[in-house]
Amino acid sequence: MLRNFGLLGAVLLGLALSGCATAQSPEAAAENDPLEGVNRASFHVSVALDKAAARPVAVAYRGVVPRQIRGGVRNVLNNLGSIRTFANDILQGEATRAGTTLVRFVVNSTIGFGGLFEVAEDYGYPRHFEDFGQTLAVWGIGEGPYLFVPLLGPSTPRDLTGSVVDFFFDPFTYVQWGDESYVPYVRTGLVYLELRSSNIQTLDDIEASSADFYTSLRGLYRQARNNEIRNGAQEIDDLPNF
Amino acid sequence: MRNGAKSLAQQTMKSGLLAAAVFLGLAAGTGATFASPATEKYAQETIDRGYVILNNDALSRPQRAEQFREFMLGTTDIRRIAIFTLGQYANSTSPADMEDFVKAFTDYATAVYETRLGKYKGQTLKVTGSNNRAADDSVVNAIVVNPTAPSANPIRAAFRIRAGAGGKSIITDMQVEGVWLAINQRSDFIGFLQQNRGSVPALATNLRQQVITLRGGAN
Repeated sequence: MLRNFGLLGAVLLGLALSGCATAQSPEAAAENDPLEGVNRASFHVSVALDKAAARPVAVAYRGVVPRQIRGGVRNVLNNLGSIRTFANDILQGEATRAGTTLVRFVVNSTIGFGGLFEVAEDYGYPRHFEDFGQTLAVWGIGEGPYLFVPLLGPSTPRDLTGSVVDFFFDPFTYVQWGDESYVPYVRTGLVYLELRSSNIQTLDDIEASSADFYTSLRGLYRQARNNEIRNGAQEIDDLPNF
Repeated sequence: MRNGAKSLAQQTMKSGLLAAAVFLGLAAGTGATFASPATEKYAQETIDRGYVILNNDALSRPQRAEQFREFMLGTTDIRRIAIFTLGQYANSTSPADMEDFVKAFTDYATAVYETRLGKYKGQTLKVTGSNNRAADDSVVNAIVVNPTAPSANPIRAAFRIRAGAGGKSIITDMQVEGVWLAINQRSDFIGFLQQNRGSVPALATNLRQQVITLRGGAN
């Protein structure tokens, strides 16, 4: 629990620091990245750690564990994430999407053997993701400055806050095995292992074709995140003229 | 955050298809009329032409790459995209440096296209509708269809089509799952320029190095 308050403290610190932003270039202002110096340092440390540990582990996981098993792990994790998505569907007033999420969870948990198999999609219930960061955006809360959080990656104070709330939304946060509460840690580890292993080549390609890997990821994050918040709806009014 | 990262990763994974497509600034003589149905038809036909080359198994890899290069260069206003990606730095770049950059960018775009798009061979793209920003500025929406793995959640794509010189239709950008590629490329390049005292020649050199890496990996 202390760890969670620590994270919350980090979010608040980030918000406070954002108020201390000094002069920035017009382009940095456009990207809303007043902490770029700190963020870049965090980025470089994270990339170094990734190459030293996370990527090799992900490569080994991908090389050793058969694809079918990895797919099953991914499906189970996605199914568990449905609880968070359902809560945020409701909070965003998206009744239809909440219904879809509920049906998906029930179908995949039963016919799909505890989420091991993704069968709801075959019945016409496609997967989508929601989190409390998106809910805050739907409620009109601004994102705040761009942050690159060590080991976690691109974020904003709004999304970090959302992550904390989602952590408490998640019933598995409170699951204990005997006297130990390592279940959420195992699950979190698997989530990141699965995420990293699924994107080894992708991130390699992005890095190889980026003039500035940091800003390339920042731009991808911004656009992708806004697309998630809009639930994929096309937004054409703010496109640059060229 | 977890979902955000996941979605980001999903989009970037899909962006292989797209990386080249940014540079499909495909120009075609469809006339000055810019009604959405005509624009959608233009987008569909142009992309289909590209996929005919991509999916032609009779071509060797070098042949396919060469045909794609010709297809791109014959139909693309790469200069327009290149200048856009420089952002504010385009205004302070000398004509000579700009010419050099456009050349480097063209080679870079082609290399990215050659190496990445090949991974998505066999897929097709179906236009689903469009929105007009202005009389000469439309966004055509589409979905990417993988015949071997149909999904209830197909990848969403879009093309921004503008009227170019002589009223020709030009695709100036491509979007996949919400990510506009030329816009992201501009962020990338401007980030580099900020870190390198605004040196466009340094960026051109960087792009040339990337071409060597990309083509080396492709061979």
